[in-house]
Amino acid sequence: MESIKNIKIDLKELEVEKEKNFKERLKFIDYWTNYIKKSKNDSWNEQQNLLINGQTTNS
Amino acid sequence: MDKSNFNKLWKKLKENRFWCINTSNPDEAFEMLSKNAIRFAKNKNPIPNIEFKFIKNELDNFSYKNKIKVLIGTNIFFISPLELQIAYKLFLGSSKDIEDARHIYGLFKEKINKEELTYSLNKLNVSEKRIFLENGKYKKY
Repeated sequence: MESIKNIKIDLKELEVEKEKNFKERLKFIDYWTNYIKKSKNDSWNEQQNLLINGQTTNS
Repeated sequence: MDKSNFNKLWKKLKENRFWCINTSNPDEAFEMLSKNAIRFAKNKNPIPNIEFKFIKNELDNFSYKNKIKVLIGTNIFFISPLELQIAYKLFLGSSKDIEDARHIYGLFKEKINKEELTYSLNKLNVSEKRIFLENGKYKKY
């Protein structure tokens, strides 16, 4: 494996990326909450169950 | 990745019942990818989903070139080096990110390259946050 010590990192650029990433995640939360409000309980319940059960099975 | 390859990927994802949460238009998705990550989910369900993004800097490139192969059953996927994941989580810095970093470190500390972890923490200027990783050590965020 190559070592990270030899690569150049622009921390300012990373800070910008961090901010963008955070905004994108907030947008997805808005999307998901709207989806929950618009959908029948069974639909989003089933999806969350799939996700949580999947994590339990893999842990 | 150029547009033509992206269109091929889009088609293949569609054939396998994946859809893009951000847009249903492949041109728009490609345009978005040049600035941000986009998400794909399966079977019309928004979760779980996966983020796609282009390699934009040396750090992305390093993660890609030094990826780790993960086997779950018969499925294969790739993740970035654990040392970098931990350092990057500490760089992101929210309570949840710090908990994630501690979790990864706690699970894999026997396998983690400590020297590489030190380099990664230094590169991302988060060496002082190393204390969050150690079992039994606590500090206010």
